[in-house]
Amino acid sequence: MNGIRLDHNGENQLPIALDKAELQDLHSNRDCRVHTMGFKLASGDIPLSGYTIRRGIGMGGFGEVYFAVSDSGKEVAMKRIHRNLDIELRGASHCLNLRHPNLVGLFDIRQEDADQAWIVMEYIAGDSLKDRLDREPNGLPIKEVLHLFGQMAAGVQYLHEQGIVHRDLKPANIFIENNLVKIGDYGLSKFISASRRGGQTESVGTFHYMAPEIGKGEYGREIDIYSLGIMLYEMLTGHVPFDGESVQEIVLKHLSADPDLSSLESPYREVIMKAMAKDPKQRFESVAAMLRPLGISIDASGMAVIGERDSQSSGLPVGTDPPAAASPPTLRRRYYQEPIANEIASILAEIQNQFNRIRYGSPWYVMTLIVFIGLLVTFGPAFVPAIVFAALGYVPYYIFWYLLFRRAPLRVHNVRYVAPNAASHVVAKPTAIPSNAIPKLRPISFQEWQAKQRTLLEAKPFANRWFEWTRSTLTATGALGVMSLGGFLVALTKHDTWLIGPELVAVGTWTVAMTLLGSWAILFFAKLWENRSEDTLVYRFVMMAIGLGLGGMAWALSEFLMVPWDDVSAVRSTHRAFDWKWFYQGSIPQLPAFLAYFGLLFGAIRWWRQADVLRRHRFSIFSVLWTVLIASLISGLVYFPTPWCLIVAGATSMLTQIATRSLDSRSRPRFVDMSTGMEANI
Amino acid sequence: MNDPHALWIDGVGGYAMCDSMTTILGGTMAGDADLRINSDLPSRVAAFHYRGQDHLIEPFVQLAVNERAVTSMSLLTHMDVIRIGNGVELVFQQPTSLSGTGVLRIRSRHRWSGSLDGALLLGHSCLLGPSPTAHVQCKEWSKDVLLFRNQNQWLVRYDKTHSEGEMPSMATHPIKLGERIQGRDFSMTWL
Repeated sequence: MNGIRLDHNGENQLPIALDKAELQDLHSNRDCRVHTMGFKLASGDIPLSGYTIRRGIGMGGFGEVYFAVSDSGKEVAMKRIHRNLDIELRGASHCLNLRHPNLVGLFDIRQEDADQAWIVMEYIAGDSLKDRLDREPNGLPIKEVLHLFGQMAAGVQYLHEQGIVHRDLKPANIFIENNLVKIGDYGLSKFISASRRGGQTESVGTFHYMAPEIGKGEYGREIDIYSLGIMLYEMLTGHVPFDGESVQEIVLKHLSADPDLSSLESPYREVIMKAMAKDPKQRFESVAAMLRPLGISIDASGMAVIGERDSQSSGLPVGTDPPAAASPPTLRRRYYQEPIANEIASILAEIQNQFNRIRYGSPWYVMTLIVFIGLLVTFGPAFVPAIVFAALGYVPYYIFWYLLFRRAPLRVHNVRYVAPNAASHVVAKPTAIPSNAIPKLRPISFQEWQAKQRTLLEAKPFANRWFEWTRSTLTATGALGVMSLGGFLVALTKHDTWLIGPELVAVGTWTVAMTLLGSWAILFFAKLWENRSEDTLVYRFVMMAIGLGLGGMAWALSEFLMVPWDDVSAVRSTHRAFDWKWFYQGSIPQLPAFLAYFGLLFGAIRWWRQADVLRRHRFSIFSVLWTVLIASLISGLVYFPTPWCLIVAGATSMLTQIATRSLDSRSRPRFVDMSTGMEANI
Repeated sequence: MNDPHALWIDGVGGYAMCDSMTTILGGTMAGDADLRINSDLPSRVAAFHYRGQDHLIEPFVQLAVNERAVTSMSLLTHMDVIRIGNGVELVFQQPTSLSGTGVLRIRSRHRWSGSLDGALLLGHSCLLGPSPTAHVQCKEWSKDVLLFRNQNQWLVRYDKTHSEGEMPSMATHPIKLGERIQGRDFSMTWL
């Protein structure tokens, strides 16, 4: 490394505001081991001679798994076994010499202590299938499903050939490194957990992937086929077929309910149905047989090969018709049940998807926007009557469709319960999916998001903020230059000659100067306050004081430039309903008028929000219009000369927004999952 | 060859902590590089410069950012893909512009030297946790943990409450090399 970087902050104070308790913690310099997490060993520990721990990988009922590096640099995963030692070690030693590309390799078993042993195994640097599925809540692309499923099935097939039943197949035990799938955690006895979100090496069975006969103590290879069926379902849809609020509910569904396969196409529907049959004898007799209808075979070396589908020997239920292998079926996301709305939403989503692929700010992006706006402005009005007509026609159609064709809500399982000891299934009423299957989402308010983001701003050094303020003021100055030029050209068009009268020059200079001073002041205080939670009353008071100061400067500048307000104002003094003592001398506004206008203008509007890096929109025309509206009300109140005071207000609003960057609040998380605390967008 | 200082986060991964204004990237045998990729790349591939809140890349060999050849110092933006030589691909991420920190991850079939999972080009603060704007996503954690700089010292700020119902109470500690940082549901070591 090039040495520790010199700090940008020349202050001796922390860049972040700490409360009293934090300061005490900091000064006492206590060790921060406040609570214990569960990993007994820390980075740098050497539990086995020759292996140094780097970090913990995962936790389970049996103990912990660590990532370690041998003295010679070999990366390994080390599983600590300290429960049921004899049974576990017997199972693991049985697997020690298994070799298959789709299995995590076991290197060694070491027992240096009577109470604990270590299994040293291959370290997989990639994600688990669970991580992959977490990123794709609507399921994986078909091509990837086949690619992954073929490999994991090949690994399971090899285990079965060696007489080993995995018994705990689940996405958390499937690892993917460089597109190569590796199955882990085989050869160990299993404990049962209700958690579907177990760590990647958790050696516990989870109810979501558990075959119904496990309750009877049957552990044949059919239980792995059942788990494979569930994982195939989850990869295609993004969710498990059976979920519930309690362990009993999940188990009951495994025992008696049929999975909802309505969203799946053939042959996936039939393969999953057969793999998840309640009777183990009704399932595929082998993993290879399960793969055949999917067009996957296992070659002589034990690897999966994706090829033509075999519909003849698939063993699928009569009447099924697997499609040609050349055109694998695709699963389309469904937005609405109503088909027309769904089709329109799909098209719009596709357009948005294509647009999002264009890099923000690139020439393509700008060109696309220009073309789109051009088309909208040119042809948009012609479509308005057609759109209105279509919308009017859609309303009665939707009512008709809703009453006659609407099915149960999308996230509903058509569960069929079987009575104990009954020979046949009984169709029950559709049951809504349990509430914990659908994440309990709580909306995150914009203010809540802002408060969270401000913790990062709190840590921003003073030097960075100073730099950003300088950049903003320079940007504001440049933007005002451009706006002034535009204003000058507009003024020219109002005159027949190239000469503009001195009265316009004077009031123009006054307007530009006041806009610049106002925007600089706002930018300064917005930057000063960006790392604090808003205190509106205090901020308004401060801004009003700034406004009074600006009012004084505005009056002085007006006197210096000798602005002929009477000539340049749209509202003449003679139109005033009553005389304001001290405010006006004739039609010329005096110091109290300037103070009143600018004081009220800066106190009435929350200017700092327009320059806040955490504002809703990068540029809001509504904010500009709102500012002008408030300014016009104040000018009406104090009879300040228009339109110049309105121009100052509107231009200041525009400048402050243009000159400050903002975080893209569109990408902020909209919900938080109340059960996991994780933020999400749906 | 010394491996860079790294933050080893239990249950998550190991990340090089690049704390200097300039970070040099090189291949396996790069003795003086701060970050090394196990590959056939030369010893000096590129330099990452931290300026203001931005990260710039200075190429020493032929490389492309988003398929465009880069020959001089260029600004990196969130999700830029850096392609070096015959197939090493890095992704630059800056999930929040409020912190100057950028993250480098390898997208191709290569690995960082030192068994690392990524590299943090540190700005003035760095966020670890479950939120989408965190520099390192720690999905199983309940709250974000903030690392921030004060002069030449890095500090960690986290919620030290023991249980769900408790009022949030923040703790701040200086980070010492080799010392374990442990909270309710996280633990890590800066080595």
